[in-house]
Amino acid sequence: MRLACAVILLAAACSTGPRSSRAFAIPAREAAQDPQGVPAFAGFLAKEPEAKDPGEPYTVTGPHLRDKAGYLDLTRDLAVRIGPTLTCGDYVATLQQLLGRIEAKAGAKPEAERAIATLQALVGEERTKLAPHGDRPLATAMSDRVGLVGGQAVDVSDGLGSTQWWVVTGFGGSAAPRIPMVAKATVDDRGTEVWRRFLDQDLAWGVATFFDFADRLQRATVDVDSAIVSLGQNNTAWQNYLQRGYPQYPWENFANSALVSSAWDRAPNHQFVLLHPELGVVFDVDRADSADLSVALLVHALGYIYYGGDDRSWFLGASATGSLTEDEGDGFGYGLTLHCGSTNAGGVLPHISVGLLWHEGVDDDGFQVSIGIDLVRLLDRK
Amino acid sequence: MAKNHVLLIHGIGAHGKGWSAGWQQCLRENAESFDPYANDAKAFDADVAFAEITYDQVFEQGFRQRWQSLAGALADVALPSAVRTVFSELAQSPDARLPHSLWTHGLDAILWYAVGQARQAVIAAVALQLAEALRRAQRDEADVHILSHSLGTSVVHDTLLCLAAAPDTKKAFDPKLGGQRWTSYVSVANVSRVMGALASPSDDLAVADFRPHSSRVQGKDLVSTFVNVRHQLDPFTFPRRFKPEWASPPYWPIEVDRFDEPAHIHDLETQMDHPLAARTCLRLFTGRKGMGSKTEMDAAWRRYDQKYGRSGGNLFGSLRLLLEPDAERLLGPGEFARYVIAYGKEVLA
Repeated sequence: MRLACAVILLAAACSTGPRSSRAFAIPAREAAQDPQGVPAFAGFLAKEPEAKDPGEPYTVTGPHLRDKAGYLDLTRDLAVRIGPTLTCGDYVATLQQLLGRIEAKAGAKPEAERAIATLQALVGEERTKLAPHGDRPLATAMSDRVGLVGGQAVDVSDGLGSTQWWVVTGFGGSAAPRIPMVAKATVDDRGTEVWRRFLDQDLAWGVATFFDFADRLQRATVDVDSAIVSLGQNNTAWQNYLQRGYPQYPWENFANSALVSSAWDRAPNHQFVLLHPELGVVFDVDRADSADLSVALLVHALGYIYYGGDDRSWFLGASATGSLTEDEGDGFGYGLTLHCGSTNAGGVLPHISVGLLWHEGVDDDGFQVSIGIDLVRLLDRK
Repeated sequence: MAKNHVLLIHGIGAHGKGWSAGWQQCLRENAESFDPYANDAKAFDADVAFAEITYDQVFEQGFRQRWQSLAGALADVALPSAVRTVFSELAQSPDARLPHSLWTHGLDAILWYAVGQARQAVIAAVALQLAEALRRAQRDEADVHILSHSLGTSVVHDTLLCLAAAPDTKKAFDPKLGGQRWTSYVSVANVSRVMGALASPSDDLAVADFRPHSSRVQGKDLVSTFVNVRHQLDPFTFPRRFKPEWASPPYWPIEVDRFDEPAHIHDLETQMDHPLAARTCLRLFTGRKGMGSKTEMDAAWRRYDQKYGRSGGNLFGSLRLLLEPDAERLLGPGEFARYVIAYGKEVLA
């Protein structure tokens, strides 16, 4: 009687509760209702509604689950080669071994037999998929898009009777029926929830452990280290180009973004110089022995810079330059400037520009040499 | 005991080391509404480890500081007044007229949106940090979650796609090839559509692959579970709103409607304090998926209603008008600038 009242109250509360679209089509055999009116999922009958989180192992995942005795008892000494070298054969054999331990503890209840049969089907599915890969590393097989079903723990939405429930399960990629751990329904817009367990606690430990352990075996095979080496070099190349390369004004940044080919994993190997003013010094070639230096505003009108090395560690380029000095008598100078520099964080010479300019002054004409140094970087260098 | 790892990715603005203290405090305080954290102040830190991911340094050191240095070196040069004004602004000299917030906040958005090389460099920097964070999590056998805010949502979106597509990284980051599937991804004030890529930052993907409603950054693909938290009055999300028609689960949209001050509506803390947002995220981050009983939620709602007393009205109505008749269209630079200026005026008023 108490159960009937609870179900009626729950159904009434849920009739105004939020509804969600389905995650994907649930096979008809999974979403069902027992002839006596008890909600069922894949043949598993839901237990009485509970107003509180049923706790471990139904709703606890990740490190917390792996730390518990129920999990540790089942996984002790399994898969000694867990990690990138785990082979396809080891993976299947380990799951089979784990399944044997779960089966030994599960007993002979119908729900246990149903769960064990499903887990056996899942292991069989993995075995079939990996058979062509022999004893190669599991990581290699997975990179060939083998599409394993383990490791895909999912929640699914489903109607159990008249109520929308979210069913927590695992092995979402499998063709086999899923094993429901627990279901929850939100009964008002303030997030009040009601729970239903599907499995007895001992069996739930086994199923939760199986789902998590398959996932753990797979995740341990991911080779992040080689990706990090490549990503580190790529990031250094970008830093060298943007932070320590030939400096750019905003209009140059915009122009180079539009004109120079690059990608997030391929830093530019050249840049254009465009209307780039720079403070430098010039001296007259004809009076080189006098060591008279004049401060000059150098404007590199148009130029090209090439970056060398995978990490864009140096650059070399040239630009068409105009110059004006403090001495109006020097007139306007124009010519070619070479730019070079190291972009390494500890580079000895960050950036130097040397130009040969022709000037037409009031008193005389002739060649000038211009020199520009990126003093800011030179002084800031660490 | 191993912890779950939560990677935090900031929005616009300057973010030095320790920038996430406010976020962490917000999550910690919300966690203390729920068992087992209510009576044990240290329990949350024992369960969750945070890691900061930053990209502000790319804008700062690759652009802003370089412009400032270049223009600053010309400070004493006699230049025509119009040119001098430009260089004075770039040098951010004391007589510059542009507000400092333009350099620290506005510039981030402009560079990310309009300068392809800035976007690419940011992705390169974030990709490396994500990979390093994943390696740490792998050593700890930890689940990895991502929490991003505002511009960070666009940054994360593009970075996850790039990592899963590049020849050197896809084996590690494409779940279809046996690579990492991030346990959960929480976006707050999602602007990934507003700030969508104008050109593909990747050699391996077309620009169409970066459209957030159809990209691979969704549940059961590059991430297991996707949570999107949005304040209904957050004007940054008015144009080109992120509202995919994905199924729940694995996608959980959460709408927030209350606030204390208009200027705080966009903040992560305002949105994460919403009891449903807090519970959903904390369940993911802690791995305790049953956390938050009815009693605890009732108390959390009472505190929330007390702290955030305002809601609704015609707040930012003038901004909505600017977007009519079609908030879904791509805003031109002028429209975008007018929108941002209007937002500033509304908030300051």
